[in-house]
Amino acid sequence: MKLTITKFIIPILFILLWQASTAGHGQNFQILPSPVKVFLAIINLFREGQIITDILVSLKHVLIGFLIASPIGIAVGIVLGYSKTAKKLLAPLIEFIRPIPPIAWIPLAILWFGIGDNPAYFLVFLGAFFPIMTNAYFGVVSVEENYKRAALSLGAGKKEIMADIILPAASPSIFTGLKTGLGISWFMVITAELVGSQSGLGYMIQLNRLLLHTDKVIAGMVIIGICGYFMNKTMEILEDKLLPWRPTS
Amino acid sequence: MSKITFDNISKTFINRNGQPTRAIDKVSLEIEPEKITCVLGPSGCGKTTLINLLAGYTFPDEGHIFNDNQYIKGPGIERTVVFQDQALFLWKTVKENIEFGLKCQKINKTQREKIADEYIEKFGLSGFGNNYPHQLSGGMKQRVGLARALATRPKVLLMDEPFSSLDEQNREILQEDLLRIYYEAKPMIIFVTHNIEEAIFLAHTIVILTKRPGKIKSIIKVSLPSPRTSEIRNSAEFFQLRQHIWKTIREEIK
Ligand SMILES: Nc1ncnc2c1ncn2[C@@H]1O[C@H](COP(=O)(O)OP(=O)(O)OP(=O)(O)O)[C@@H](O)[C@H]1O
Ligand SMILES: [Mg+2]
Repeated sequence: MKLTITKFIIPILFILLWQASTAGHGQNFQILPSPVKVFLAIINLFREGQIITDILVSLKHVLIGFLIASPIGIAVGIVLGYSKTAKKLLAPLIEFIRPIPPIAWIPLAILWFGIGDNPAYFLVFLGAFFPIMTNAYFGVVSVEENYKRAALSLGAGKKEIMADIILPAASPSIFTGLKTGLGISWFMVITAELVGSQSGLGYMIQLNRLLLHTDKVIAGMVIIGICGYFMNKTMEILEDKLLPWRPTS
Repeated sequence: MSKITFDNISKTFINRNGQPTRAIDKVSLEIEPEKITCVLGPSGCGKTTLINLLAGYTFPDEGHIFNDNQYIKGPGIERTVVFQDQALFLWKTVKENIEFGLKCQKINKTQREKIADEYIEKFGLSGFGNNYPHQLSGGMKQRVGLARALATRPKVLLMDEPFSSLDEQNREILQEDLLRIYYEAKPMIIFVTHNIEEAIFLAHTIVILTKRPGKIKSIIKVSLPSPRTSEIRNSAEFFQLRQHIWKTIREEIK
């Protein structure tokens, strides 16, 4: 019981401070509207209904980009970790592209795909791909030698080593990659929609900035945060379901 | 019947700085089929290296190892390894771990489950078949490791200090379990240990190695009666043998 109270102390203080700092200057709500105003804005947004479309559009962007990035990232990571030849061939290119922040691809994404859904898919893909690939790779290369040795002495062939040893042993790391990848996807989708889209939550806060509806901008940010939180929670629940064998769960 | 012959084998490791370490030096040895051979020797003398050579995980620089007059070319199901840290597959249940070797041999699911259940029972793991390794105590984990290795009925069992992390009671119980299964299936067992009493209790033959590079220091036949029971541990013969081996090993540690 004590723990749950501790959890809320700082957020409550934060909101109180925010409220207090907006108390004096009623007109200045365009710079920083009060939490009450933001709360009302959230309720209004849902009453008007457009926000639901925006949320769904952003989720669609994330899911499609992420669902394309996941299998490709996992497959590339596993192949790189498993085959020395593949690593020699592919690693130089990957190591060159990886340090380029996905945001730096925005101009190209707009040039190539115009304005709309496609640059968002592309940027989400780029953001998600690298952490997913890297974690799958490290998962595979750090499988303990003794597992493979034990399996070999029990008669395992190549197929069993891959399906029964390497993949499951690497799966916690693969999952970490998916979680990180999804977090970055969410980050990338908002960025993409801010500049290259005409729908979604990123577009919505950008539009409201132009209209000087700061309360709606912050309301949008709060909604973005809440969606991200639930996406992460979903992944954690999935992880516990899919990997029940891990010691820490 | 498996017979293993070491013919003048040596093994040298080269570390990262290019420095050579000779781990095994000109070892020739015959290991009898259907017998338990224990290997004793000071730390770092090359015992694990011997097991790895037998398992086919590494190969000698000089000399040859034969199993039934055939070179050991790599790991194989006729030679199963039991590790000190068990190397249980953490993502598989107790039952799936025990079934794994049978699955690799393409034995069908019903048959596999039947055999696994049998070994679960034999090793006192009843009720834990669906548990994951992280839910087991150290002693139970080692039982699963043993059951997994034995379920395929290998001709040769290679054990590298399998019981060294267990407390004394568990260790003695597992030694007796191992012997029980041994009398049933009569595999050849090569058992590395640091524990002199463990070696005497289990072995027909004890091989004592010198300090690094490991050479054979002495080979001792243990003529305690079989089947061995825990009372043997208190016999005068047991005690004398212990003194003798302790003296032999002491010469190497000094
Ligand atoms: N892969 C390796 N690379 C380099 N040196 C090695 C390697 N494996 C073993 N050695 C060295 O060979 C020697 C023998 O090692 P080994 O593990 O066989 O000893 P051991 O008798 O099993 O020791 P312990 O009783 O402590 O388990 C040691 O000096 C060790 O450092
Ligand atoms: Mg060792």
